[in-house]
Amino acid sequence: MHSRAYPFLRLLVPFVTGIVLGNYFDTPIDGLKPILLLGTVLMIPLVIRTYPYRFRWFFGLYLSCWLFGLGYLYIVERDERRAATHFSQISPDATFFMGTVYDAPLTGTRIKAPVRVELMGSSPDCMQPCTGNVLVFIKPDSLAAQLRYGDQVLVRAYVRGTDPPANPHAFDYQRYLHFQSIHYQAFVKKDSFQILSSGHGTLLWRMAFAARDNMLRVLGKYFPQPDEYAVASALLLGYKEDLSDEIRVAYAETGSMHALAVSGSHVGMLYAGLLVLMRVFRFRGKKGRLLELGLILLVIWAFTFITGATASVLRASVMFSTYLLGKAIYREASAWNVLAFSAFGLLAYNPYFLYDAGFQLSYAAVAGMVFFYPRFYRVSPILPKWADAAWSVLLVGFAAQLGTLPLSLFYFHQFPVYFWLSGWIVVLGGAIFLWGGAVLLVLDMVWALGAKYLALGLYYMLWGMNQCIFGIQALPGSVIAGVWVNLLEVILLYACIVCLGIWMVYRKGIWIHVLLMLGIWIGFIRLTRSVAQENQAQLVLYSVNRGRLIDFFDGKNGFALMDTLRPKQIQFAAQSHRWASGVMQVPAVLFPKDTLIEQANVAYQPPFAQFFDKRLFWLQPDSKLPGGIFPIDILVVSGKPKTDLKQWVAHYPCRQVVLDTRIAPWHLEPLKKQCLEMGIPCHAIGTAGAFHVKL
Amino acid sequence: MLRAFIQHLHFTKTERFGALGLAFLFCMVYTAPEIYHRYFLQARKTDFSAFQRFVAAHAADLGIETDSLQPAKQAPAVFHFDPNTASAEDFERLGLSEKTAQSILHYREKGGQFRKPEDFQKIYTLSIKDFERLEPYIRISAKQEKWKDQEYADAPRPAQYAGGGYEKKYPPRGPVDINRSSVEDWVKLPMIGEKRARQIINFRESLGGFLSVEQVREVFNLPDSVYHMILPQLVLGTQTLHKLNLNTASIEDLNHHPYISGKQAMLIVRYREQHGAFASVEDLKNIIAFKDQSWLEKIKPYVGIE
Repeated sequence: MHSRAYPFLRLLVPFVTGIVLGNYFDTPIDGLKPILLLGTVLMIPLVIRTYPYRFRWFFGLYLSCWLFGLGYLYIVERDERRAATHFSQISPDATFFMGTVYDAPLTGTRIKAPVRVELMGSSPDCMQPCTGNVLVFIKPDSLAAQLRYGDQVLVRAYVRGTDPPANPHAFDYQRYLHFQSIHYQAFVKKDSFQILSSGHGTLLWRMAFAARDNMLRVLGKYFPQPDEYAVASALLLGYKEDLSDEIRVAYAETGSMHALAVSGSHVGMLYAGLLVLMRVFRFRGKKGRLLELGLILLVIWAFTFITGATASVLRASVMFSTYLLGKAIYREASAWNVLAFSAFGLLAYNPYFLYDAGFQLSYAAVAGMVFFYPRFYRVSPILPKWADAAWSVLLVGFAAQLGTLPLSLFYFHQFPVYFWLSGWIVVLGGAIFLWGGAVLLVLDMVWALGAKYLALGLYYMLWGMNQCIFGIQALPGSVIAGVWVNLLEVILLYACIVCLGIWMVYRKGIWIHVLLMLGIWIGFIRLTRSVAQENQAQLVLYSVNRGRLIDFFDGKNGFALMDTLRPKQIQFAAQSHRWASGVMQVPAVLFPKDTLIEQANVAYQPPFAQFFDKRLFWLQPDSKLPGGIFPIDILVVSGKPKTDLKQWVAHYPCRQVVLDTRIAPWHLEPLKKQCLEMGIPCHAIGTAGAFHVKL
Repeated sequence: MLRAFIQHLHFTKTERFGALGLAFLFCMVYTAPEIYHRYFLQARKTDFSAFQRFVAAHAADLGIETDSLQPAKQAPAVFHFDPNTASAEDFERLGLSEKTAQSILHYREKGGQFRKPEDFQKIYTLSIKDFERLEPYIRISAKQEKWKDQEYADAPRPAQYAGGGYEKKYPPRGPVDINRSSVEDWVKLPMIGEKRARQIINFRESLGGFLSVEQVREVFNLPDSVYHMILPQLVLGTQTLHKLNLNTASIEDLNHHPYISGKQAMLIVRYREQHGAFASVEDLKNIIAFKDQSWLEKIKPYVGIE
């Protein structure tokens, strides 16, 4: 493995480093732009002149520095808020804006439509031109359901910044949106918006989204059952909106979620099928070959756009196109070079892709497959053809898992034990369905009866596939959940995998030693963390919409007090933090229960609780003032009290007041003011997020 | 190929020793958390006796709290009284709060009259409990009523106070089927305009049909006097109840029913989400919050499970 064989890998490394550091420091450097421009001009003589052998590294270093600067500048400049024309700098308090929907709106409990703002002002008559993106949330009604890509809308709503995560270790939606170039949101009331005109935006995208909607409709016609329809639309078009939670969990826990997100494997299957098709047509000669190439590229790119051009499909399409073009000019392209080139191209198109979990996972998977699969295959026994195919699928699965394991642990905190079992089903089912579905979409226009029978066959196949996935999920020990790794561990795990790779190439025992040493380092990190967790005492009052959820962590034992919440709410608010704290099982007690609960370090007797030496009191609107004075530590105000808060604090002297989410937002300010007057720190969960104390 | 594979797996002696040592270390580091947990972790136990005393003291305090915070009250006495003439002190001696007594006086000042014991319920601040306690002791002097009759002889009068010009003014218009009748039918009745008729029909529709004539009384904003006036002309025709499906109705659907509050609707849907579909209407009893047997009986005809 020689780095000079992979020129684009050499360019990619400094560029990515620049992007990472730019994202980390996030500060514009004055004069970086002119320096880079000057650097480009200076590069001309440097390219032309020849170097003495001793200074042969000079140009490489120069280019690396230049690319590093470019990456840095690129990601810093990318932030829409830095633009002088951004609406936050032009009209900060405006309530009216006009803009264009620039991506397909997502449906759900609220319709989410990303809008590129063009005009903004305090009334529809006086609006100023500006730029910036706003994520608009609309309650679904007949008007909102009509919203499409390319619609120009007039909205009246307060535009405010996106919310940071409300709970510790919870999914950071703000960061996610940042990498989608969205920093502001607007909640739109009914009748507060209107669609002015439609048909704006790029023709290409409009056609793509229209085609997708049309295909979804066709699928809906043939697959009336919601589960099968959802899986069909996900498998064929990457449309994941309709997947039920059960299906999502089942596919995630069996490690086959990648099949539902249209990814590189789909493009690969498409390409393999197209090759077979082309063989039928027998294109000959140079012209024929060019025609063939053109057709394949057209189909692949049409597919890319119809599926919404997510990072993974874009990557695969760019990679396949590069590979095919390389082959067309009679040069066998190296897989690594093609991979690096597509990454470079995609990051140049949008540097935020680097922080997209799908992008990272798909590159990791392909890198794993490119490196490990041939090496695994080389040492495997010779098998009959059918067994060889099945064996290859298994090896590819293992290779991809090796590449993605650290990242998937980092993002999903779980390891699907039977990924190799589900791999066979998903690859087989995916390939059949991709081509069956494509034929179905064509047949629908030509021969309705044939389409009906084909759909019936595909339906039973999908049903069988779903049942298999559910079956695998139900196997004992199907998933190792709650594995928490931090960034350093991810890096060390990748270092381990790289050591394994180097050992496989050079066969030097030292690399196994290094691998073990890295393993010991990771073990040490986990040991120190585990010891810290064994001795922890944490009290967390999570932020849950109009509900209460309180966790007590005593070492690795957990105990929760809560209102009647949906399992999804609990999962969303608390699961990550529980795993991050090493607490796997959390028995819960519902709030309005009159019995005394006493554990080693937690006691609860409504409306009081004690955790180690901290005493809590839940003040509810129907609580009655006591006669005496009872010193406590934390006063949790659960709903606006009917009597003055000061009176309560006089009876329950405390060191901290917590206002929970049962208090309406407009009642928070007066209560906070009262606390300020009394000199007691006050934390409002509704606005400041979860209340978190480490004792 | 096999030879290459064997070559691949060859380790020199130093390498072997190095690997062994590291493997030992590796095992140690990964078993250490378990060893720590088992042998070195000091169990922590908080002494909760202080907390228990705190709660106990508090509970005792809560018990006497109502007395200690409000001015001392005498035990309520009971005696016969006429709500039209009794003084504020009398009412307070009867165990009513100062506020309630004031509102009774206020009601009288504005010309309010108690013509029969039930009228005492009109006092908004009077709790049902207090009314039930005091009802046997109410004595309304007949004199009062006579005076009233003369004063308002000409006014349209509810049916039960016969003798006025009521019959002549509002001749009976034939029975009205409360489950079938349209707005046009309802407006024929006395004191029922188009608005009230709509209200009644809306109520019927959200209810799913009347089961008894009594239920007309529950129509929001329909005064009791009007109800009594139209009562003789109401008949209960064939009932075709529209039932709510407990297994498919959304929170909004349930809440739209006048007998089901938003909270009850939410509890029903939550129960369904957590325990699966209702097997029978009787399953509603399993929802712990639904303790009120009479309420369950009341809604039972209006819900189904198909």
